[in-house]
Amino acid sequence: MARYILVRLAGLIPVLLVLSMITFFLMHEVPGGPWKEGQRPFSEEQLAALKARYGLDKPVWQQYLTWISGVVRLDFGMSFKHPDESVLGLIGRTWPVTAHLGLMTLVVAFAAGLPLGIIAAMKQNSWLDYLVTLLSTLGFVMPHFVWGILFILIFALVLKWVPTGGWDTPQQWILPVLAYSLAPMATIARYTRASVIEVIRADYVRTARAKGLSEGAVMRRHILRNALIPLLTVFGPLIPDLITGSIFIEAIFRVPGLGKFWVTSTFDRDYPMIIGLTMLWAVLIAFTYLITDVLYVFVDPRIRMK
Amino acid sequence: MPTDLDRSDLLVAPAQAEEFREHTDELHHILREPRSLGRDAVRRFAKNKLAIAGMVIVLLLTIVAVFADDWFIALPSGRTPQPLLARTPYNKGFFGPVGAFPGSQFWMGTDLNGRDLYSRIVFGARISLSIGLLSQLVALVIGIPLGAIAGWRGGRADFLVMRLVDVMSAIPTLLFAFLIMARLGAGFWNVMLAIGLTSWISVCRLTRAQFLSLREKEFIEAGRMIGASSWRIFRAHLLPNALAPIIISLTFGIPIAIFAEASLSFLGVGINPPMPSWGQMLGRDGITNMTYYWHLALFPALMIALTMLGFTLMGDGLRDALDPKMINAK
Repeated sequence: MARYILVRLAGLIPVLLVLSMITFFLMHEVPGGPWKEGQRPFSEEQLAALKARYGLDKPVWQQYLTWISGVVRLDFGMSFKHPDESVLGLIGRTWPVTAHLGLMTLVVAFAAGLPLGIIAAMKQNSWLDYLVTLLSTLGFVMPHFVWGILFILIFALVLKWVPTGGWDTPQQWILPVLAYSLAPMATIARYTRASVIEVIRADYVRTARAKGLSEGAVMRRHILRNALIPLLTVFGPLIPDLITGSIFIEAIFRVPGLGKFWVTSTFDRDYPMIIGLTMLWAVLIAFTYLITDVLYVFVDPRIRMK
Repeated sequence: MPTDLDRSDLLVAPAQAEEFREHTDELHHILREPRSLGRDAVRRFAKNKLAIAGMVIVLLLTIVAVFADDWFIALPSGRTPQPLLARTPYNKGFFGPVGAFPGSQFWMGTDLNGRDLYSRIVFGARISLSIGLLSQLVALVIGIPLGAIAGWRGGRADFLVMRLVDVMSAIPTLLFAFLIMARLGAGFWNVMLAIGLTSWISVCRLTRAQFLSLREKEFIEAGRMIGASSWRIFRAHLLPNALAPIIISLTFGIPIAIFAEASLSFLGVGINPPMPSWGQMLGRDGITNMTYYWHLALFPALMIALTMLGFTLMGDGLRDALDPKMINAK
């Protein structure tokens, strides 16, 4: 097991290297620079001095080497747009808000999605099932910025139940979490339903019923345990996706999180920030897949590591 | 036992043949028509009410997109297209009062430049649908050859393609599309290209998986045994058999691409005004003025929702109809 994890971790390094190279060269390939379209126009000399200070006057491959040697020492450089903050510092300051929103969303999505999926599967082809299917299709297909806008229109402007945005009081958390959780909730409900339906017909479930187990025990010990295993691969990637935040949700509800940097860093040509975020994302995704694969072995004794 | 093989008993007398024919005609009324796979799929699709609802939505949107103005008549003759379903040309400014609420004169109100919102919504359908279709075409053109080479040739080609896919899927899609848009600049064709370049990966994976499983099948082996060329096996046996799942994935790719266009335009790097796009309407005027000019956010949001719903319902139905094994599998 330890060997397997080590091999996987080692395999990660080339992927991350190639990824960082592609992103690095691609972002430098984009025309425009960090200071050209600024509010205060710089003189030629000032621009040259700034470029020299951040090493932007050197060839791109040399800049890449400088960057990668910094990364080894966990130094991702300073943000161009926020010159007094390092990339790590900026991420460390804004990510907690985003992660908070993401985790609450995750909890809501699971708390609602799993029961909905299970109920729909148990009452397959009843009106309840159709309702869940329709709701999950709606949640699945509608972009969350559309939900966010519709929710604000309905709950904040017409009904005036909650504020339209901000992130100071728990009342302000309700709408963004709701709008953000619908898509993952729908995904969870859809896949849970399909998986439970498959397991319900298994022989061991019939056996469990035949030997007189209560319906609740059959559900807990036989159906759910087996139905949830394949769902690990579906649910795993939801986590990095949600905790890195959404530019749309944060823009619509004015949440001061990490999400906006996914967009502003590209607009501002804030190179250290762009590549820092990309690496954060890639590492999160890679670790999620690794953890999912390892968890598989623990929850399903039939699977053995090769 | 006759020494000579006497086949005369196999011949049917004319009278008997006539009787036989009558008999089969009769049988035809009892037996159902022979059904092909395609016709079976149509039957299954037609029985699926949600799928039909999705198809109706998609058809209506297509009609709106095509007949927004009469470009299909006007363009060949070189004159400026005249609005048909829309009420004004999409780029015409200052058509009415600024920010008028929906009413009898302006069905969906006017935007903050005084343009008729209804007309812009109608033209937005054309933008959304064409980007959805065209970007998937780009994804097909890149994804199918790469996936086919990887799955069919295997070995080093497979390794290279799959590593490329690995790296591509590790880049956050939105960020990648952003960088492409920043490189190319905003605009219709660039949005289409950026979305196509980010969505070929799933097509490639699917094609590869199909080819991998198909190339071990007996009928491929049989084809080789009778001396068919690689190209012929590819064209006549592999591609047609791999096509159904690819078409299904395409119908799901279209709403995803429409979503991506709306997202990019929402953030201001997609379709540039005055060309209308639902996402752009939401992102520019929609969310900033939502508390007062609610119609600027409501109508584009509803249109995006309707389009996504229509395509997804139709795609779900198509998948269930074309692949009966997959019913309830997702």
